[in-house]
Amino acid sequence: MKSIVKLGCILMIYAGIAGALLGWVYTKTKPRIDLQAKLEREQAIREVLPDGCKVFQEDTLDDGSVVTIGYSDSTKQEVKGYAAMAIGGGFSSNIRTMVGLTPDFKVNAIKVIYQSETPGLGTHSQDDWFQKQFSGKGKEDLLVDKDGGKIQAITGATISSRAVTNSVRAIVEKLSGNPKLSQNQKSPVDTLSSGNSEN
Amino acid sequence: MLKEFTKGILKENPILVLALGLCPTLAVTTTAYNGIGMGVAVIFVLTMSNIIISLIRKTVPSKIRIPIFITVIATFVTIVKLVMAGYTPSLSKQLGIFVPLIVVNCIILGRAEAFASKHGVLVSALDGLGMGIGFTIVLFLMGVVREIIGSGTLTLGFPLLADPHTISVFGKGYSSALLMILPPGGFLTLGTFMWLKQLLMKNE
Repeated sequence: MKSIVKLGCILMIYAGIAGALLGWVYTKTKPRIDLQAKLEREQAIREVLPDGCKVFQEDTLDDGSVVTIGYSDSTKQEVKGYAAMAIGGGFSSNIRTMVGLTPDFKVNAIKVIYQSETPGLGTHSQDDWFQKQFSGKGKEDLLVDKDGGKIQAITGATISSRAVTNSVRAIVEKLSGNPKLSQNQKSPVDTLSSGNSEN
Repeated sequence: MLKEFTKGILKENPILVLALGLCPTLAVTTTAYNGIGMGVAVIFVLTMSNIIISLIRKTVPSKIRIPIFITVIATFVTIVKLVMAGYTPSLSKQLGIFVPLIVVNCIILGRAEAFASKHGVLVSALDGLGMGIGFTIVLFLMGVVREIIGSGTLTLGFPLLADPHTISVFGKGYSSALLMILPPGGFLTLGTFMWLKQLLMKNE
């Protein structure tokens, strides 16, 4: 009995030292890790939004999700595109994809930010050829070919392909169906017509 | 002393002879670069954990040595993971899934138990380094074989020093033998490598 207590105490000391060390390293590296995640997110948003987006503004939708709206200039009159994060349950991970949309809610570009799918199969979801297929597609085309859509699934990784495709389609449907955003859709037309009347 | 370093490369190769750490071996060798990435991470953790365990070996009661070794290894892997995520994000992404896997890699615990807990710091470091290099060589070669046959490509690079670069070996028309990058292909390749090693070493 005595020896169990003694051994337990020794193990506790080791675990305590390890825990304290890890806690210290964690607090030291946390700001850097957060910064890297933020940079990566912003980089992804810039990559997927259509050209000509100069000013970015984040907006929170009713369900709490965040959408980034890209404007052509700081007057925020003309909406150039939207970006939002899509999350789909893949084969062995939740695949996170940044989706960029044009003002008429077609996909401009997507970028798979995080996945840990099967190496050599589902990991191909980060390949250019797969991600480029999404550009210019509307919600009716956003299904993998096996489901009757126009996205060619990755050979041997239909589950991962489907996860990305369906999560992207869900984002398109959510944003295009959101009254707050679909108002914006008309705003470029409005500014154009008012400009004409002035002439 | 040099023998402690060289033995891990062929004579006591962790994968081909000791048959340790087979799970990550089979899981990550789908491309040549993945093999190198996993190998480099293992060299680092194995050498460092061997050093630390050799340093504390006299203060560890033998009855609870295993949990203490695991604590040391897991602590070290977590530190490496956190530092990499903060300071070398691209490397961290490339090695992402491999780094936490190192904790459960039985080479590390195997060497701690069989070698570092009984030997001095310098030889333990050499043992870890040699074992790690032997591990890396096998992983790289398995990755080369599996990737060329299974995907028709070859991805080469080195963490921190050279970004991975994929070249097509057979051209566009090659229809890849998918089996090779699936788990059965890993077993087939590993079995063939073990057989070849036995064949080569027959005379010794």
